[in-house]
Amino acid sequence: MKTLKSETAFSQVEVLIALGISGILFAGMFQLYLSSASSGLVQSQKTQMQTDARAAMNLMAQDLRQIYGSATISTTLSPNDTISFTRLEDSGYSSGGNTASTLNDTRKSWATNMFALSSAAGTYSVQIVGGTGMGQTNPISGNTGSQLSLSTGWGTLPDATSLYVITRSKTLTLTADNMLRSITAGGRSTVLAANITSLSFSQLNASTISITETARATAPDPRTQSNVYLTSYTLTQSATKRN
Amino acid sequence: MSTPLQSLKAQTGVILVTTLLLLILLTGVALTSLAALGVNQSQSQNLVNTKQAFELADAGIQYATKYLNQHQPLWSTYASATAQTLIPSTTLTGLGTFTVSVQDGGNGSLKITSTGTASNNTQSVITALIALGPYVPEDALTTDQSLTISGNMTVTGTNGGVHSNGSLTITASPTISTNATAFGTYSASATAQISGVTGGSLYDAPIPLMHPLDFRAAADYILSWDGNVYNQAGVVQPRDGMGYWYCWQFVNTPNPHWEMVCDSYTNVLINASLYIEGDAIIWSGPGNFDPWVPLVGTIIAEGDLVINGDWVALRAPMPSDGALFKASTQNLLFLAGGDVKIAGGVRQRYQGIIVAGEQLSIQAPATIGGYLLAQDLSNMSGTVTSNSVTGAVALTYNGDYPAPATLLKTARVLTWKIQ
Repeated sequence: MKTLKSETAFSQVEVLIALGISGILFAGMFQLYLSSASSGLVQSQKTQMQTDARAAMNLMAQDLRQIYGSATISTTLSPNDTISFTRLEDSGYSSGGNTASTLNDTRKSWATNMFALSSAAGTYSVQIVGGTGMGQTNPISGNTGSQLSLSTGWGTLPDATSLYVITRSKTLTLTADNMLRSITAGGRSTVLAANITSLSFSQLNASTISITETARATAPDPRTQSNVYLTSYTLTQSATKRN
Repeated sequence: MSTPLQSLKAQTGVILVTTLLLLILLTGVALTSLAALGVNQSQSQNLVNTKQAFELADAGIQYATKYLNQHQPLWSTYASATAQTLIPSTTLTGLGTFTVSVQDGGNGSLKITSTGTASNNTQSVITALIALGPYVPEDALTTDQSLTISGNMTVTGTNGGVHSNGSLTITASPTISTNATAFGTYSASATAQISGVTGGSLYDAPIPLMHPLDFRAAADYILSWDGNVYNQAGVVQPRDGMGYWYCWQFVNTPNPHWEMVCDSYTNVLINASLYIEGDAIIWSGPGNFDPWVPLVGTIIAEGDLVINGDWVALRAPMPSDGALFKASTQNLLFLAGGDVKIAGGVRQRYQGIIVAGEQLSIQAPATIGGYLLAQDLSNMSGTVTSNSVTGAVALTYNGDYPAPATLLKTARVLTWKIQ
């Protein structure tokens, strides 16, 4: 039987050979790691781009479903489109008992001043779309749980037959810095997504609007290092207004 | 000195450790990328769930609107101050569930709230205000009993569909821009081009009850069973030398009935709403197809209404027609207590609502704007015994032509909002 002591050491040559072999192995593995890391980066950029584009698309579709009346589509930053519309925020029949500068709906329990003018939310307006006083529009200055206070007085006083809608004017547009923005009249402009290179709307029929947008990756593909060609992603969705 | 064999043996322990280290390293890399994938997947899954929840809630609103339309007498019980359940939790297999509650919306309207729940408890809530408006059918042609389409008809428009509360059989190559549906069985030939929903066992479409007698007071003239033409005051109207009253004559054989025989170039015609006590047959002549110069009026017959000629152009009165237009018969073109048969040849064009108390048959290649209804209340007249379309009729209906306000109403969405 041999002693352990005699087996502990091994020759320099053996160590060098082992190091050489493992060096080659590690070099190969490192290459593999590098390429998988770079393709992983490309993939995660793509995923990010697609997620952003889809999220923006969903937000736009949700807005367009709540259009009250018809939308206006115009070409502002050629060839991209801008859409302007009235978005329904709430509605109902007035419960009556209105004064020249109020509108009541006892069926509601609004949060206090949720419709008041603010730099964040923009201007809310109330519009009478049916019954007594039809056709009048009035900006809202504030509200309690069941009463709206109005900036200007009614011409014809709405009553319990008056159908009202609370709306905000909105615009969806693409600016020169490739930002897809949602702008509320009297309020702030919100960036829905960055790196959007094209945006177009088309009215398919009286109530359906088709949206097409193209998103672009934030950085060039590390494998090609090309600044000219950036991966892009185009998606289309149509939204039908229900009002 | 040790032999190479001995030293290799001695290194087995080191290789084991190295291999283990390498494995741990590789596992780490694999786990990291798996974790990243997992995040992406759950993001996508959330997006899918949110969309499904929205679609479920939207389905709830559509279902509830149909339900409320069919249960109009119950509206007063639904109009409570606090919400009550209208549609209990309904499962759409593989997608999720929706529930709908209802409460008073004010001024006769109802507020419905639909909650869609997709997997992972993702929820979407939609509220809508529903009110009753003038009857607007979903389809251009609706029959209460079975319907056979064996002509190459073309139905266009936003409401360009056909529906039967009995069976629907399509044997030819019609083009239908929306749905072809039945409450009973459904069968269609392979060449039928239908853009919307098709199928049987779907729903029982409401059809308003319309009796000729209910509209008698709106007629300008009564073509009586005694052979005379009266106005509403009961004054007998004069005839021409041949015994005609504006192309209409009373014919005794085989059964007493009224017939319209004329030539629009030589005969004098009158724009008027007529009430005919018995059957009526219209032969060629009234109105001009092209250029479109129709004869204007509502024709109501207690018996059958048959069109048997060509070059027939008729339309229902519009508000711009002044005294000819009557709100109580608005947009109504033909109403027969018995059958309606549109036969004859070319150059026929109609605008308005066409209603048969019994069965309906369209055999001519007519152009029709508006909608057709067969009430199928009985089957006493043998003129038409089952609803059929055998002609290449071109029918267009866009949800316009609201029916007289006294009739059955249709529930419709006034406002719609995602919470």
